Amino acid sequence: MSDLSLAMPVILLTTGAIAVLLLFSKKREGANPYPPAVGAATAAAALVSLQITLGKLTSVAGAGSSTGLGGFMTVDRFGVAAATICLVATLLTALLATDWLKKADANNPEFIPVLLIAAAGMVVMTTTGNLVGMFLGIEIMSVSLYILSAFRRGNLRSIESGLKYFLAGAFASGLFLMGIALNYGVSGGFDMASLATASASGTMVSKVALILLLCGFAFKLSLAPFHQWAADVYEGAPTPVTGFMSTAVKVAGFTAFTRIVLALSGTGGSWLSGAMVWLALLTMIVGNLGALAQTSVKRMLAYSSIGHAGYLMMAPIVVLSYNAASPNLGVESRAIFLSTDAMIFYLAAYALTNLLAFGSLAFIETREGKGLDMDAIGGLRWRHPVAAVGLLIAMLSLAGVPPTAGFLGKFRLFGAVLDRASVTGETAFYALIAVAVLTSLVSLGYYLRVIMRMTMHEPEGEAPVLPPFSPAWRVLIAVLVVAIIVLGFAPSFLGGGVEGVMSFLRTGI
Amino acid sequence: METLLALIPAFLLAGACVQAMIALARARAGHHAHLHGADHHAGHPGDRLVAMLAVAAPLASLGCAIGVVSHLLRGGADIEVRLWNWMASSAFSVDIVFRADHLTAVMLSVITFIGSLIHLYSTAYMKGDPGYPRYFSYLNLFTFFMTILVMAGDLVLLFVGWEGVGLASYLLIGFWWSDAEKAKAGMKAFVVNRVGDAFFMVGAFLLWRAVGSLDLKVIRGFIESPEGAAKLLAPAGMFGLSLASGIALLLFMGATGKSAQIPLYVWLPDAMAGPTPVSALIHAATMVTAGIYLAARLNGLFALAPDAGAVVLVVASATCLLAASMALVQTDIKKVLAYSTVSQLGYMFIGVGAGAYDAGVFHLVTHAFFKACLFLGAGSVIHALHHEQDLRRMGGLRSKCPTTFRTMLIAGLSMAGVAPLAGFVSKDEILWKAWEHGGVGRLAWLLGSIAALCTAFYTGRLLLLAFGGDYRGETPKHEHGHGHDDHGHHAVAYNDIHESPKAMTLPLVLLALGAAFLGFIGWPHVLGGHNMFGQWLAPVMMKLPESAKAVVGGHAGHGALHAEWALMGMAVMVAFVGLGIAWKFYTRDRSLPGKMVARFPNLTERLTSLWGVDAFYEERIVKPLRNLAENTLLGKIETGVIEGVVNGSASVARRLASGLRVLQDGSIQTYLTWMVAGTLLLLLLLLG
Repeated sequence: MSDLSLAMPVILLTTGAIAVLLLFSKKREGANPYPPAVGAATAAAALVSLQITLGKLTSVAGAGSSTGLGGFMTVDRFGVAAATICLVATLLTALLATDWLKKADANNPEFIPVLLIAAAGMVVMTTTGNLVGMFLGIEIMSVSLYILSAFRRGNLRSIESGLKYFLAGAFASGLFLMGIALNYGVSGGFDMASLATASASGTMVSKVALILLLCGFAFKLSLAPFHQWAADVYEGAPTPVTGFMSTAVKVAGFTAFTRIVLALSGTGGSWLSGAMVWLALLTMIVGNLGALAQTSVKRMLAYSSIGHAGYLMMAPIVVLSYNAASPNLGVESRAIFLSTDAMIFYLAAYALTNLLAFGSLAFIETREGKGLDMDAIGGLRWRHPVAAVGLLIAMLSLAGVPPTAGFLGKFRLFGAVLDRASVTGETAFYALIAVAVLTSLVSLGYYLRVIMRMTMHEPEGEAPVLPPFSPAWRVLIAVLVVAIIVLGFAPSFLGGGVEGVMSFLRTGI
Repeated sequence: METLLALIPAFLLAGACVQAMIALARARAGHHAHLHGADHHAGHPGDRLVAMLAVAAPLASLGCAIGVVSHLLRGGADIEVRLWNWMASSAFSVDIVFRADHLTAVMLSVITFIGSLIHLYSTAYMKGDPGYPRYFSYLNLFTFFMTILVMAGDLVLLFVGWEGVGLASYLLIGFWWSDAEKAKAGMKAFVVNRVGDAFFMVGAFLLWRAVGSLDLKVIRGFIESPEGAAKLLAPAGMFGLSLASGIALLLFMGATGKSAQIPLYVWLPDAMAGPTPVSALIHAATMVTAGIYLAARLNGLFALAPDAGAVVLVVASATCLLAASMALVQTDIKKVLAYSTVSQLGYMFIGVGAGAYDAGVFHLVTHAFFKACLFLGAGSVIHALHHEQDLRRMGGLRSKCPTTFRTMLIAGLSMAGVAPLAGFVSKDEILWKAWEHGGVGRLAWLLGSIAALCTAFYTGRLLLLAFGGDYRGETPKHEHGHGHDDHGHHAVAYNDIHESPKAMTLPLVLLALGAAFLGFIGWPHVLGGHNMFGQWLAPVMMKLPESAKAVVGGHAGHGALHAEWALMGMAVMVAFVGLGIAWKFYTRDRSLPGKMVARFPNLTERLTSLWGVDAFYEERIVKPLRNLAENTLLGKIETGVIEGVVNGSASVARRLASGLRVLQDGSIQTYLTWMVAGTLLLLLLLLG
């Protein structure tokens, strides 16, 4: 496969970004519908080129992955599946932000280019097999997100959010880079195989390198105790950006992290899993209990996303438990398959769901011009039924109630961990499952509270009369609602494309 | 036939979608934007159409269900519809499959028949409610999920139905969402159910590990094969239980949520906050019986697990008696019936525990009729008295609501166990099977019989307080404890009380007929019958391989004929004694209840405080959890952040305004400190 076709999605995204900058940056006042449209079109084009790459990949007999650009990019089904979710999230964010961008203080044409650059960083993150490439991807994505968080320059909350994100992120990047450097010192390489070499050597330095990498990711994935920035940043950032951050960033981060763990599994890296288990357990508990205590919907969703990161963390733990010395390697590789497959499905379901939630919230915020505390959504059912239906379905899916996508995601993910628990008989897996199930019970408390608030009459005052809203937004919400239910009940209806991506690992890693 | 089966849920789903669209369109039109608790409203001009559509959906499904039943009656084979692949991976593949066998046919008939009646009843009961189409949308949706639950060909799809009915029930309990009390009740029901569901999921997963599939047909084949049964009988390594016992217990724990058994029954009485027809359909006739359906569906699994059966017997009979005792002192007419439902579900589970699955399902069917009739009758009374639910403020309604009175009398006597009404036949069979089971079964029989005495008493009390004596509603209202009659009603003058409209009394009559005569389809051999119902379900019962039978032991053999006669005689006597005491208390000597309270203050206190169970949950589970989230170290850290941000942001704003640096905001330093601490901790932990 040619290098060009491998890099095509990134090229398209950056071209689109530059094009928007050149074409539209003169007009700084009033509504400007073109940047979002161009942004969505660019993301769609990148999606198509990604799928073409995937098609080439499958047509090469027996080839599971393709490496190019001097080993910088490794395109396989795992990465393509994740990049697809990121690009869909980008596309939806561009569309959902249209309305919000029309507001005077936000209508800067730079929003869409920065979003596209962030997406390019994510594509690099998910489709690279090289630690330096991964770092570059993370930085491209993160720097764009710092800007997006602080995008409302007139708003102190937004600036505070961007600054906090930047400071904490810079710290994490330092850890990550230090980890890469130490790993290079031990193994003399930057590719995934070098991680395995270093890990197999068992030296102190290689261990420190891995721990630093883990800590760097723990920040990006907002795992407790590296999570505290998340609530402030999510709350302060513009709502469409929060939606983007809580979905696409998670997808890219978990994919990159799982890639590292995949390289480690079976090479004696399992000493790391104890720490990962503790991080996961702590994250589930902190995220869900933290969400229970919140009064702002956005903050609640921030903690909820921390809780979800805790659940998702179980997948890499299962991957790391791969036992190369097992007499039954079929069972071992099934564990990897089940958990990564479940993780990708969970991420896809979570991305759609959270985008729906934030899309609805962004709308309410834009229309009513006030914050997003619990009172702001009181009686929403009467004031704005479409947004209320959107939030309702999103909350149910986040809580994992069938027949939504969130249910199927939890079902697959928890099932994969239970499967592993019963194979290895390790207490750690039983503990993970027990805490995951218990905390998702707790999570019902705060998700249902949103539903209750929306559907209860506001006792005092007249309901504010909302200006008419765009049909496009309504269609978008309806599409997301249907997609979440279809993904939960009949994922095969989404056609061979998605199911093909979902089954990226069927040929084995 | 396949099409017919697939159409059953299709009609209901279509109905739910159409109603939802009408509801959305109306909300868009702003028709209800400013309704603040106005519950007697002229109604929307389109309500007639909404009502017709609402009843049409379950009726069409009923038609299809009749087709399915008649196919099976003619000796046709089980029907299977495979719709599409749901999830596929190399290790795990699930199709969307519907199946209809004899058990499903019974359930479908009950659901669609009673469902249709309750939709019809609701058209009148909910008249004028601003959320008319929304209500019917939820009701159709509920019925849809219920049919999915009983038609599901595998456990995952069954679970979707299982959760779906819970969701619809949540929506319906909180139907009048303008008040927080009801919304809370809905939430409680949902959360408690999810606790049970967690056990269900784990049980289902273990079953999948053992069988390799969750398809119910495959599971049945597995249980009926000698190798499969042997695998299930092998010790699971936990508490000395066999794998079958472990799975059966987990599934039963799942069922305690949905079917309101100890320890998870607490949601059902609170669920009475929903509209009365909802209580009749969901919290009496259909949803709460899902647990019994599940056990009957997997009867072979329970048969392989005698120790799990013993647990079921103990829990069920304890629930049966406990709930019956609570029903004795309730003053809210719906609460009496709610505790009664918990108690009757206990009877059904006694049947399951004793291995008499057909008896359990039979009681499910008769209970669906008499309890739905009682609930709808209660609804009719409440309707007539303008939302009065307090039994102490009723009385003398016999002549004012004659149809309601007669139908409730029949259903009540049926529930009290008066021969030869349906409730008597099915309850007696369960108690007899429990006795025959021996061992713990005898205990279950004893507790069940005491509960039967309580049942007869509280039924008699309910009927006498509501319909006997003089009307007590015109006296000025006293302060009293419960807060459910919050519709701002004022006392209705006796002369203004009217019988409910036809749409409400017709379902009552049909249900009362069922409550009276359905017993004959399961008429026992000892009275010269053939127990047709048991024979109908015989093909559903799994046949354990001989090797497995040798391990778990067969039935203890049939009890003697004279014992069955004696027990039956006793059961009839118990019913009359209970009713007699009620008569004595509430007609002959009205001072007796007061004297009893004075005589046994402790017992009364315990009963009215529901043995302290609800308070226990609130104090020991809900509050500590909230504390953990808000007040402990962990909570302080997280909520401290909130305060820090709210105050911090304000101060940041102030500092920014005065030209100071944002970096001096303390919180970001705290975060970084945490991150450094976390990194150091991990380094120490992993390298030390």
